[in-house]
Amino acid sequence: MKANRARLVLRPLHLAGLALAAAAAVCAPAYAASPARMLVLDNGMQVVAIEDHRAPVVTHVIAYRVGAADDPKHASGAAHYLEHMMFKSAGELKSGEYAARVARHGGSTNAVTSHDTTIYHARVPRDGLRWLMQLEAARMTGLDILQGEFEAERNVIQAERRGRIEAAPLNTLIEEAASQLHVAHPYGRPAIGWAHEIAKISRQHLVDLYRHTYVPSNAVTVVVGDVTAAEVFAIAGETYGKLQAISLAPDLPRAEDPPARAARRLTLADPRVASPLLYRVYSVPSYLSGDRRDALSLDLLATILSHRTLGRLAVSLPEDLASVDGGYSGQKRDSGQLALVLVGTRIADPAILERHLDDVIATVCASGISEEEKDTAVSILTARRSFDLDDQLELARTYAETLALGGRATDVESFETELRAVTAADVQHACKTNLVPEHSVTGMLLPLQSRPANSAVSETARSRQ
Amino acid sequence: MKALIVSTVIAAVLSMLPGKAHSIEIRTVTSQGGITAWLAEDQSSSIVSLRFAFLSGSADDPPGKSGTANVLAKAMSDGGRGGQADTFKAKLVRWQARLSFEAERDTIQGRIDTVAQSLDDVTGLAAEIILGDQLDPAVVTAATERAARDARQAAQDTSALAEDTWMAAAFAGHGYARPTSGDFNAIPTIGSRDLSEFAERAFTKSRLVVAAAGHIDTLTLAAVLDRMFAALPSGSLPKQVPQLKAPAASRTLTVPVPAPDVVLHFGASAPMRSDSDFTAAVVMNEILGGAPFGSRLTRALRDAAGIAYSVNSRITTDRYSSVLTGEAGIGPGDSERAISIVRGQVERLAQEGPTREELDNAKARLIGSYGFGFDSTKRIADTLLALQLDRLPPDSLSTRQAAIDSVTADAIKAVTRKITGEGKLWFVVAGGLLTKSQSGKPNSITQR
Repeated sequence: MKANRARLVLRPLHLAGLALAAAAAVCAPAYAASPARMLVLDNGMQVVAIEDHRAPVVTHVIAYRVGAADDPKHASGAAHYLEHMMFKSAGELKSGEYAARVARHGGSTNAVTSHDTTIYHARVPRDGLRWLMQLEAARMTGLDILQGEFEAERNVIQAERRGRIEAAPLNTLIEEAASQLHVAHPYGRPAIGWAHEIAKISRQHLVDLYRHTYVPSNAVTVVVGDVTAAEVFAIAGETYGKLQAISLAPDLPRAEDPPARAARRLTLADPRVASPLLYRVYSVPSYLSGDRRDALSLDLLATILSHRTLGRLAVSLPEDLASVDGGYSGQKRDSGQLALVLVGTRIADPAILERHLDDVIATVCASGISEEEKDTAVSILTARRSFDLDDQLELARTYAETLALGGRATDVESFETELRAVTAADVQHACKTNLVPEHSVTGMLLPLQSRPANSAVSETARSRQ
Repeated sequence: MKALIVSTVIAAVLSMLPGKAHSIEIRTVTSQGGITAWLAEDQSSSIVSLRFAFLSGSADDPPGKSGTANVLAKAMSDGGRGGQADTFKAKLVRWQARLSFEAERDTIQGRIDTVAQSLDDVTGLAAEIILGDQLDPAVVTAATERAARDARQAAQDTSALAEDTWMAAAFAGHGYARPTSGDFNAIPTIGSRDLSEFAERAFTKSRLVVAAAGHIDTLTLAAVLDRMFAALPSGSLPKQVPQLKAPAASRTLTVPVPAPDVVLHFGASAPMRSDSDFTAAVVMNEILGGAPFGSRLTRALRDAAGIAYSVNSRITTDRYSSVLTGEAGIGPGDSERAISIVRGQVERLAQEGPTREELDNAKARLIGSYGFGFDSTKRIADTLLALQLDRLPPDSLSTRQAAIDSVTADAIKAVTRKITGEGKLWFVVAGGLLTKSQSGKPNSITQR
């Protein structure tokens, strides 16, 4: 479970996830059998219920409006660290008991920390909803954060960081690029935290974060499954409804990036890299920070440029190009990102990859796109959503994230209609306005032959002995 | 088109699961062309999922051509049959549909997931690929190269090597001895003719199994079945053979792999699905190493001895075999101790049986997790195909939970003895070499 726990913690870092992140970022018409119903408890917690009677199971998602962008100064990784501690001791609940109890009933549980939200999910047989909400309420109000458990978890988190970032040169490059893209805003700090700061996070950091942000009015609960909305609201009232209302301190303003004046570049050479790779990321508006039509246009633009088979970058494939990827991460409270990746052949000249990228972007910005291209991109994005949201967990997470970010349930439901209303001219405008060099970071990942290939491997072995 | 002949409700699948009755109903649908499928219709979904399997897989690869089924499935997934390759991917994207093929040990399986309005288009394309007789040479070449690359990579993966080595020794002389991905030395020799011959034997009505779920009614499904499969030849069923059993060897094979850590793989033959003690074996596996928290092996190897990073076990059933296998990731130098701990744990379970709490927890998890096989259109279709491939009668869905609930501690003891007794459980140790110079070829096995 731990290996998966923060699967999406660094969502933009996960290449295959780039496109998915874009899709999961927003939402469409009634995918489930029944509409979403919402109730706000007296203590301020939002509860959403969606009925899905295909199987005798329920999926419970709780999203807190706190994430890595709220980490204390010099303590990046604190929100993610707290997420790990939420599976430890909480009053009567022993360390590991929450997950063990879910597993004993045949279910599964996990959590994801991103920059703006921390989202926990659990899936259990339908008659387990009550005890699940009781456990969830217990750890929302009574988490211990025992010193011993806290210290022991630090090694787990450092190991997770090594596995995710240090072990993958591309993820290292992406982390470096984010820090250049956001020189002041906390989106420039990795959600999992920098190793030297994880080393210094104190128990008090987590206690403060927990006390101030893990309160009912800062949480959104979504239940999808084989229960009626009335049952969900009744059980939520008897469990979460009993929790005391705690007034939430107003958000501290996040540092803002200064106006960008120059394109930035990075190069990372690594012996584990087989082929040259070009990574370009732009800081762009998000669904929440900007106009929704701009965000929708950016979603389409990213698809039109970087779809693996039909994207502009892929169809005019020069010989040096092996594959392309990319996507728009628009489900963010502040700015979004549009990322493009070109993987070269083993012998590719990185300069040719970059020229190809710049030519394609220049053409789209100058001449626009065809209606047919736009329609294809709409099909791709709506299909991806249909498949994603046919799955209970994705459906629950989509509503929870949208609401936790400050969006509305109707944003989930009207996505497809809104997307269809975007014009080819809108997409061209989004290209011209946003894909400008000074808002970008270009990273090159290059092979490095000279160093011994498996130094990292032996090191791991030593530390395990 | 009124192609439907029979549509019978065969099970209200989930009525035996905890909670209230459910709306999923499984029907069998037989088309005019004589093709039968299981269907779970759900008009509230916008998706249609189709799953089908032909009973010929990697175990049927011709001699010296290990990887044929795999290459064929890869080529078909790229549209390389039926003259569609150029436009294949673009069409699927425009239709918002997914179509792919995969080789398994006993089958080549096809998967279609599509928005309902593209069903006719994508099943028409699938029909051309299944029924088409010419292979696109460029696609075949690309598929062959990709298959060889994947197989070469698998031959460097410690965990895959350990498992392949165990299977090769357990089922020597049978197709199950070869990995599904194929032999990377043999793959480049596989040509279009090998693929066509394989397809001709495999793609027949008698070897076909079909399942459907989602936004599709019986009449539409019947028309789809005829469009995709009615023109296939009748063919013959694969011949019946008795259960293949791994020999009782009480041995340990070692595979030198240039990796720092060691994968300990172990296994023994287990009851077949049709055997009366199969359910007891499933519960036994859960207690021994299947459960994610607190299985006996996890407690003994990881928590008490502290020599394993992870350990798990499972029962895998194929058409002609059933095996209980497991693995543990351990440090170099700990393999002897780990083997003796695993042996000690199975002996104890065989003698003393599980505790009451262990038995209850294992049953609760197995019963509770079952519903998750029905929580999306894709998974419902997957489950309906798997049930048919396991040759389970439809009512096994409703009897499964009761069967699990009725397993006793004595039954666990007996089935543990049956599976692991008399040297039937044996081991492969892979990895533990740090230097690059040593060979990791799976044929450099030493027997101790």
